[in-house]
Amino acid sequence: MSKPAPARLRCCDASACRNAGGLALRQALLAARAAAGLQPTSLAIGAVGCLRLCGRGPLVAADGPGGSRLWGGLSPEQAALLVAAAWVDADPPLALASPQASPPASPPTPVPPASAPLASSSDPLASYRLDLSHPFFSLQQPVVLEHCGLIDPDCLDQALAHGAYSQLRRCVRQLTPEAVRQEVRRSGLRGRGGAGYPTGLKWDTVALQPPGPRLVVANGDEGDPGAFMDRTVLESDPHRLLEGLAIAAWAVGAERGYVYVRAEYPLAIARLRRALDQISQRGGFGVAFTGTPWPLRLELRVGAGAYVCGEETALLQSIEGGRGTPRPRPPYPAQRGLGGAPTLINNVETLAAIPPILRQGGDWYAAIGAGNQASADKPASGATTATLGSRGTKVFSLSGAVVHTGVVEVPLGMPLRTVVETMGGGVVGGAPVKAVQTGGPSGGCIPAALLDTALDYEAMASLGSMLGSGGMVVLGPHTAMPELARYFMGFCVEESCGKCLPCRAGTVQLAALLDRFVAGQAEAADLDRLEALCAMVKATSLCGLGQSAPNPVLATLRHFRPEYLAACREEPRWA
Amino acid sequence: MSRTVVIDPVTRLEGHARITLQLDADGHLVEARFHVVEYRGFEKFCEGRPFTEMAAITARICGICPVSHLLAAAKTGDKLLAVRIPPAAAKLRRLLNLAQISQSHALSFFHLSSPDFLLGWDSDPAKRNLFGLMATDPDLARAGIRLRQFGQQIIELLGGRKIHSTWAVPGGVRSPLAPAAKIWIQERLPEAKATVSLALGIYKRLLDGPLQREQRSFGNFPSLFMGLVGPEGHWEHLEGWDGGEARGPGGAGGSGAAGGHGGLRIRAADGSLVADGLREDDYASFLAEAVEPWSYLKFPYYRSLGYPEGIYRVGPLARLNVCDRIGSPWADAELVELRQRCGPVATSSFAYHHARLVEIVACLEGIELLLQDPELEDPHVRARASLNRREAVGVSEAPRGTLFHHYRVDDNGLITRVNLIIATGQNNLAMNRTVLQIAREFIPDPVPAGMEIPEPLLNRLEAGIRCFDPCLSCSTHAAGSMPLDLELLAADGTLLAQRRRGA
Amino acid sequence: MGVITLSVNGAAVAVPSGATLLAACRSAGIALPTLCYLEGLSPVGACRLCLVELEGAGRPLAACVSEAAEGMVLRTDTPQLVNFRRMGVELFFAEGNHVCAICVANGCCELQDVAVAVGMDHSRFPYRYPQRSVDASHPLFSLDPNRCILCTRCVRACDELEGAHVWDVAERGSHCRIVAGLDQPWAEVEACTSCGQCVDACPTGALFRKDDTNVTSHPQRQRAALLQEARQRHSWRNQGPPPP
Repeated sequence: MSKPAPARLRCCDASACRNAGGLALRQALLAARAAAGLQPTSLAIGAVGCLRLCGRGPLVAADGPGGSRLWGGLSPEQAALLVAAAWVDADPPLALASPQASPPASPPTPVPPASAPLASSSDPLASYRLDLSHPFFSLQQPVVLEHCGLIDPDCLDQALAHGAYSQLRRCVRQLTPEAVRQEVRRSGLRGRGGAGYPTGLKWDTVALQPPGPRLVVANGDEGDPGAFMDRTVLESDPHRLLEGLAIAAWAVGAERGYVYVRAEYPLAIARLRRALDQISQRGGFGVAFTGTPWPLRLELRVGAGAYVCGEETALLQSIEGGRGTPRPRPPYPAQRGLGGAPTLINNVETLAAIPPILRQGGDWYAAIGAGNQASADKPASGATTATLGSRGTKVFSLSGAVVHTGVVEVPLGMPLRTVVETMGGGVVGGAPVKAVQTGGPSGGCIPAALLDTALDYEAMASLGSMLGSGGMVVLGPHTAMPELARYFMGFCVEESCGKCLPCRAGTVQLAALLDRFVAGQAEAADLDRLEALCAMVKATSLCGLGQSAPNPVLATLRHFRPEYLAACREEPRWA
Repeated sequence: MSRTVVIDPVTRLEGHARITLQLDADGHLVEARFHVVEYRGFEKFCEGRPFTEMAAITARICGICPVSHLLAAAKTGDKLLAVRIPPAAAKLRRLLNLAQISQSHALSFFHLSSPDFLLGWDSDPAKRNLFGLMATDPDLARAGIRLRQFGQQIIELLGGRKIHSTWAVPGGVRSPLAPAAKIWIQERLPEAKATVSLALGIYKRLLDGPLQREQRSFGNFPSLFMGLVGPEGHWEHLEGWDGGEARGPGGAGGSGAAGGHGGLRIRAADGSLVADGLREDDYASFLAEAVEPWSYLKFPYYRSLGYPEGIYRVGPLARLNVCDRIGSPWADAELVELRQRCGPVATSSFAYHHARLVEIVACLEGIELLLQDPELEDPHVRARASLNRREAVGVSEAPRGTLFHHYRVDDNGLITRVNLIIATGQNNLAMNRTVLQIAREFIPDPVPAGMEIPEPLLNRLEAGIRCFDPCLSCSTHAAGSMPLDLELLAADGTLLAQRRRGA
Repeated sequence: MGVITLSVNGAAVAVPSGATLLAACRSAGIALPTLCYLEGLSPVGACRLCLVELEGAGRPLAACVSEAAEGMVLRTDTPQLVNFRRMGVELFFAEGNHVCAICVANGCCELQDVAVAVGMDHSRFPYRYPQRSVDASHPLFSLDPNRCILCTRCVRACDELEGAHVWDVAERGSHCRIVAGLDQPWAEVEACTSCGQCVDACPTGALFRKDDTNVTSHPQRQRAALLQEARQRHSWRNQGPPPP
């Protein structure tokens, strides 16, 4: 009997799957392989990054001649079965669950189907199989995440084998910084941390400052509750981020840089440290990847538990060793940043999109999502956000009352409904979606009636919400909207840095007002006070945290005002 | 069937109070109670504040007698700093206190009590007040108002404001006397003297006539009396034990009371000296406080006689009863006459009114003498030091009686504990006994079932309280027990009569 | 140095280039309320009372930290700004324990002055009544955080004028408080030189001299400006320009 081609088991080793028992499962698989007398050359078993459907972890994928299969929720006791399944000759090709047509108009069936049509009684793992042709997977367009789940995050050589640092090499050896920036401008890439500022423009601003040292910083503080996009990149493909940051350094003339990661991401921190050590052992970026003496040095900086340090100027203060309090802008970090030098700060996801943009061209990136309605007429390389479209892909972390919790990367402009219902499977139990919260504590909610809105910077903003960093929380019918607003306001109260009065004292008073609505003890005058104070805090706060703290209140008031009115008492408190 | 008579609120007093009378099933008066229903809580919320703030804070206990608290707090502060204040400061403080006492007594007599004397107990309650007085005898009313204003104006000239000035501080006072102020006061003394002379004349005529029964029956019972005296046993309103050089009117030094140190004196109704030369620092050794569940006002008593036998009275009548003499001519003459009417120790609480008028005379003469003292204008008015003690007691004679401020502080001067023994509080037992006595005198016994008690009789009950000129806002600061039920429950809880302001 | 012209409330103003919008407003005779700004210290833009509306900008700007540019059109007195300033002052009063009656700074308090200027006579926001303790450990001065509005003038004065950096801010958000040293009693911080710069910089009665009682504190609030200017010009005469 001829040996089948080597098979491979990919075990997700990112945080969610680890928490679901991924490590133990992998250990058991290794033991089961040994017990079955198989060699690693016959069946490779390795740790990889995020396999996307985090809510069904621990996730394991198998590759064989017939294609790939995916399982979720297995326990170590089933390791032997999985080894056997992976080893089995894939002829006939294992039928994956019934392939879906292009996105159906009606709510899709949950994955996996309760009874897999082609699952034979001889497949004891049938109920753990996940259908890779389900829209949750098939509608994704991995650009930032393209190697997540394929490579071992701790192995530089695997990353290199998949093309890591090939674009850095090309940039340093063949392209001028201006040419690199031009490609980024053509791509229409906008900051993925939430602000949506044109990335190419930001790079130009830094590069064109008066001569002198510059620095680059990757913002990995990702503090929004419900957001785990950057975490996915850092845990699954750290070299992708480092390459993007290095290319940025080349493009703006920086030779020093920092990766700032929040302390609550220990796995990401460990992987980045290891990645940087690996590069250092090979002589640094210049020597290891470009064959030139380019002296770029990147360091890791770990946060200390403050959401406000995701704000650019506060982040820089933190790197400099000070309290993480924002500074008034202007001057912007691009003009005066770390130590007074022009500093480029970009979000992790933004930087992770850079190598593919260089590899396939800015035009290629700009074409993604170009067919979607809102962006159709807009040029990619407009000068301001008002004229820019929303191009390329965006990573979203989908959570909440949704059936499929996990990470998705889709072209911008896709309707929200597609993500939430087609890919996400709608609300657990089949209940209707009530609203979708995007942008975390800075964002707003899109009510069910507006689910056809495109995932697009301008379209979302026009509804009083925002695209945000990518956190997307699905809300079912039992969510009380004042309570949701109170939850996010409580977050802002805790995370306010305390420097400016409106945020420090205003959020406290807003939370107290919202408490009355949550308790059903508000008065009509409280509604006026709530709106007036929201306007004041929004307009007068020093930084984005305070300026956007009222957003969840304003959005829920706009789309769910009757709930607030219903929470008012009939009689005034003081008769 | 038992009945309860309730007067709520009691009018023409400072503060809020309530009187209940409990009758048994046969209509006999069983018990009378004077409830104080305010709770101010200064003793608690001062904790954690720098002791230098206590003068400003405690002055705000009251709008009528802030100076009393200001001075007691400043004196306690002096002791915490362990300084002797400059002589000019001591004299200026005396000037302030004399002005304070005279204005407060003027208020009590003219605004609060005289309507009863001059318009009659049975007159229309709607007019039985200062406005009614102004309508009936405008000149007298005006004179009374101006007399009070005189005292207030002196306070403002010294301290910058009439009410809640913070001019007295630990170590002395903040600013010396301006020459123009001295002239202003001297110019208006004659009018003030004329007013009090007029009042004394009217009052004595009333005493000989319509007020005889009240003089006999309003709180007339034996009790101890307590007050400060000077080193020679004369009337004293500010300095405690060993008050130093700044005494007056009258001499300093000598072999007078308690070896020339002054201090607190307690005299019994029979004239004997129960205690003399007591130091305010030792107040806890001779005074104790009881608490009853039906009033926020504590019940101080003379420790060695127990509760409630240790009942004692403070205030104008007590000060005159304990002192040998006042020390200025006109006041001494008036004091002699008062003793002729009432005996060497006046035991009727009604005599408080007379005592107040005599004290106004003493104050005016005292002010006049002080203004002639050149040391009064010395610019050095403040001694400075850092914190040197952790605990101190300051005493002053407020218009209504002896006032103690007792502070304990931490190493940085932040208050850790405060105890205030307020003048009015020390009269609490006496006020209760007065109410009972008046009720027995003026209300028929037994009270027939179904009878309504007429308003003028209820007015007399209130007037009994008014003898003491209580300052109830001042007096309620400790955490006493919450009054559980101010309505004394009869068998069926019937209320005989009630008076409520504004229906 | 160039000159910049801009318009403030319709009136044309000329200022040297590099001047702030606050300086421009003052040149135009407009007294913008400020609390965290003190002439002589670096500005931080924290109290948000000096916000002005700039034509063409989406949000109001803090005048004390914004640089004037040619042709700017500013408004300082729109109904929205007036309303926001008033709400800001109310928030200040509601977040601390400000008892003017017994405070040493009663009558010479910048918070009081601002409250009068914006017409605040009550707060629509409920008072929070935080629990804060007095630090009276220093022999000469005391800190009462009940009166503190976290303007950080004391922090900057000590850091920039005296170079001792005794004061800084601890914790975050509504838990922020001014601390001495490493959150020690003031007397234990060896860096303190007892210069009193912080007391003179404090706009309220939070930092005061132990000698002062109710209503007597009169801090020298122009001290920071005088020092800064003198150091820059190397001239210590403050009675007028030096002789030629």
